[in-house]
Amino acid sequence: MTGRGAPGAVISLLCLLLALTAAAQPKRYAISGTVRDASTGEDLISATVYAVGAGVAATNAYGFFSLPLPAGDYQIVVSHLGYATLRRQVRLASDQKINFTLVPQSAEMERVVVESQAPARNANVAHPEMSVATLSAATIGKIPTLMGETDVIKALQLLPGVQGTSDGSSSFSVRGGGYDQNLIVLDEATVYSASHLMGFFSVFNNDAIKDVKLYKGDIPASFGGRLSSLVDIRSKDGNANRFTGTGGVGTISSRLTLEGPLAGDRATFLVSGRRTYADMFLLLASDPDLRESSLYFYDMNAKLNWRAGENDRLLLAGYLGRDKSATELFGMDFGNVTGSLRWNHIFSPRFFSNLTLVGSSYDYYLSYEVNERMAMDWRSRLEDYGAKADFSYHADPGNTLRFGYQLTCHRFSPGEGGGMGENSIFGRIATTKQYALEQALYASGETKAGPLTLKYGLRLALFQNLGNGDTVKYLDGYLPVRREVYRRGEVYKTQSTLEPRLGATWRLDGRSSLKASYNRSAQYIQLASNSSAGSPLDVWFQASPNVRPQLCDQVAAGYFRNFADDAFETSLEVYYKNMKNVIDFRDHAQLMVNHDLEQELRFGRGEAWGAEVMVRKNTGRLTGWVSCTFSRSLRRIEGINGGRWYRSQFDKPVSLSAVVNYDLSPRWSFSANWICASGSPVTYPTGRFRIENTYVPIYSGRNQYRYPAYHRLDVGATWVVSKPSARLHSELNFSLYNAYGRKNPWTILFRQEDDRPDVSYAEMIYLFSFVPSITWNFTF
Amino acid sequence: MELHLLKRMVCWCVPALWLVGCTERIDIDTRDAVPRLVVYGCLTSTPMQHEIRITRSTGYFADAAPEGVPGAEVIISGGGQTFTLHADAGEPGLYRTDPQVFGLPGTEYTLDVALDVHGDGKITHYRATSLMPPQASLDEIVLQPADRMPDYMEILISAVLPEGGGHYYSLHVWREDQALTGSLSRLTLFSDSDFLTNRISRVPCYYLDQREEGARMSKGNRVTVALNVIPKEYFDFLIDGRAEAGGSVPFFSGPPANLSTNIRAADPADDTPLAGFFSACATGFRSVVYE
Repeated sequence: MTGRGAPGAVISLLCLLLALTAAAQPKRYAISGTVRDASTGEDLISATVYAVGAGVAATNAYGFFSLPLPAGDYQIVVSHLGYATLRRQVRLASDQKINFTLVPQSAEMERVVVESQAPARNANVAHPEMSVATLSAATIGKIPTLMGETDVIKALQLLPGVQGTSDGSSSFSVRGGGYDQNLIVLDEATVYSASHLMGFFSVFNNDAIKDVKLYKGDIPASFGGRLSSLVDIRSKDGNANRFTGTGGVGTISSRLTLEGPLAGDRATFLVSGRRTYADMFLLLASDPDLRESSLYFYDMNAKLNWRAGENDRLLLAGYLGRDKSATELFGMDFGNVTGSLRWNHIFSPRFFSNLTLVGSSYDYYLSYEVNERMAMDWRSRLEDYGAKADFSYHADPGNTLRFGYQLTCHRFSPGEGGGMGENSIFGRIATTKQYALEQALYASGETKAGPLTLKYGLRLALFQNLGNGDTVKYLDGYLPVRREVYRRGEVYKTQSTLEPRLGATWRLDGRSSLKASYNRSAQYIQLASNSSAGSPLDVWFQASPNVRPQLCDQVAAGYFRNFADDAFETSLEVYYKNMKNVIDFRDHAQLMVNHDLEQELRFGRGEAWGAEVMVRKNTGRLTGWVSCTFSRSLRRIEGINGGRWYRSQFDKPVSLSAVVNYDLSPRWSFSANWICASGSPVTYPTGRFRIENTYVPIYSGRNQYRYPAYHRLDVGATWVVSKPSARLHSELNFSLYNAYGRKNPWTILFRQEDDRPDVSYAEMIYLFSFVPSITWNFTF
Repeated sequence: MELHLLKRMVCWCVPALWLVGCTERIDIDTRDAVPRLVVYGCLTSTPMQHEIRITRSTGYFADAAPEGVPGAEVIISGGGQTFTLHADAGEPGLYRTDPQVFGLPGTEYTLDVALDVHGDGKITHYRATSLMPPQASLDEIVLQPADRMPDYMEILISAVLPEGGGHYYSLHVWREDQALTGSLSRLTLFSDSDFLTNRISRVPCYYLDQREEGARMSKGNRVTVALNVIPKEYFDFLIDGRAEAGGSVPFFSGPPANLSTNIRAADPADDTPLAGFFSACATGFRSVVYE
């Protein structure tokens, strides 16, 4: 369904949906407004506003809702997980704007008040989306941590269908996809590298985060560009009620977040920073070179939220993160910068819009200087600038229409560097800068008819390569056959994809439902990385005349049921993914500093399928989830493994995880998580020969073997130190990562004994066993 | 040189990894690969006795050196010359030319190995060809303490590299008669694409670790350097071989893969698994006495 010449399809769908929604319209009025946290004034995402017996609406990413209803008297129930349910009687005779505030609910209160009618409690069953998991900052904060660093990405890795790529890594695979197939957006800005410290920590500071939503499938039409998943991260807007601070002093880092109102209650701000002091540990090293090295990262989040009027709101958000490491001879630093300016405008109680201007960049810099003659450096950079316009029209409680347009300008500078200074013996080299435009036009709708809710959408994605005055090579059989020069800004290749998104939810009763979805996604930019974990030096490259977009068709079906007055959510999902134009690299590919990177690529197919079972408890003293995943992920790429199917590096047939938090008392809470998964596929040496007094391995088929199974238990405890009435609330968090000291292989190396060079042996490198940490957290 | 330098830079920049990483020997259960016929050796432009070694690969965890394959007829020919190699009486599988044999830069040489590989009396031919690159002129070597690395002596070379660029090099070092670059991990491999000119002057190319007894320099010690211009395919073979022998580290290594080979069976129907490489290299030597 590649959509050459199909741009009208999205517009046709939009017109059809508008006609349908306008056709059967009795006179209706809309209750619209926002739902906010009473203690902080933060907008609540996915809160439900329920007109008993008449209809339900959910707040969007900006806390806005619209519930069109016929004139009449209604009991409105507003609910959100973790908050006391609010009820209000409303007489609707004209459009009404009502802003609701919900009071956060402690576990103690929750045990007393059970609101089984609150729709938020059965959103798992009722909400017409599947393959989606939402984690609040509070949930993430309760999970035991590595070295005391609360980590969004590591929390996601505990969800069914999500796997870390290696021990301790912040890279992850969703349903058998590659780690570059996950679109991670922070306040609408793409984050290209979500890792600090070579991948052991993510770039997201949990103190600045409000909400994290992972789409493993059923991705909204307003997002695209990656095959496997969408991770939509929203930062806090800032406390609208009072000036507050949140911070912590941990084993390897300290952090501080300040937020509060500005200009009365019309604006809020948030500033958050974090810096590690891992380099202090280097002082313990016996190697003097290590002692004199530096190694740290920092990141900052800032946000300004201004309510310009009744119907207008501006949000300015930014992120800056950087890793730095250096020895006497070498230096490396890398990091992301993102920024977004969003303008929410409410045209009418039923018509909401958001306009976003966005920028994002990722770069790294290396330097090496033995002396002034042997000095060189290297830098690489990727920049995005774009705009996005989103509109949503709420026709009635059962019909919502969303549409929009997205434009992104990509600028790739894969590498530039060489000798530093006049006396260097090395010359300077640079790989060709590349430019591309990525556009998308999309529309989607949602229609309810009795127990059936249908979702349908279409996204037309367009990718255009732009000339830069440099030579473009055309390949045949991976070898150049033709060269063309295109002037700067000239479009020399356009590729497009029509991406349908379909979903259906059939509510069997109030506690159970069946869901199904299909979506096609296309990916036009990808990482040049053939390592199993990814590194900060990987560069992104684009689709081109020689590189077709990767495509994925995913179908999924699931059964969702809640138990015990919605205290327990359960789900069973099965999925199948068919991937085309999947990219891998030829054996011994050279990906760094390669002018002819496209000649290193190999293309083929991929398939992934699996079943995911999850039981989750969100309320009460005991919360958490247990999940089990059975899955497979295979590839068949030309020239790799003799052209036969092989296991992808993310093929882990069985994965189990359990996450538990128990609030023993207002002062003490305990948490634990345990994960167990099949070992990662690996290619082992099965033979050897000797050249130059060195044994060189002969390998099995690609990924024919597996590492030993991975399992790990982390435990944590939180002790509230301060009294409830204290102005400074403080607590101590104790974590023990890998509590029973499982030696999980990070990699296995094959070596020869020093005194018997003909004797080979396998040596496992494992990273983390028994890693305790203490963090002091505070708020004021 | 720059690619390997960059990788090395990155490895230096992850000291945290090695602070927290531990190692443990483990048992791996694999099925042994079908043995491969391995042919390896080179012809240089320096008059000397050249060697071709023919062995069979073993299972990875075999505790013995690979067995040599005797009984082969080995010939190198090219440029109107034919060199017959003779089996070494003391080491099965080792075949040597006569002394003072050498090749000429710009000449394509063919290795022909005739062998009853299956022991069924049927002789099979295995061949490889290699074009000897142009020669580099190694003009000077200098030995001095390394700047900012107190435990090392550095070897600097001045040379005139072949015109036009696009050439590949291996560098071998001897202290007295002891080879210091006797394994893949110690070879210096580089291309001339990094250099501004084909005349390089006092470029550091090798570091002698003075904490190692075999490399420790005393006054009067002689150091010999060989600068080989090697075909790109052989350069790739050595680079890939070094990477595979060094093991796979998740951040910096691609999937393991078998080395390519330029050894081919003359009979297309012969499916004997093959490995190794034959190359023709242009060599230049120079020595210096440490004072």
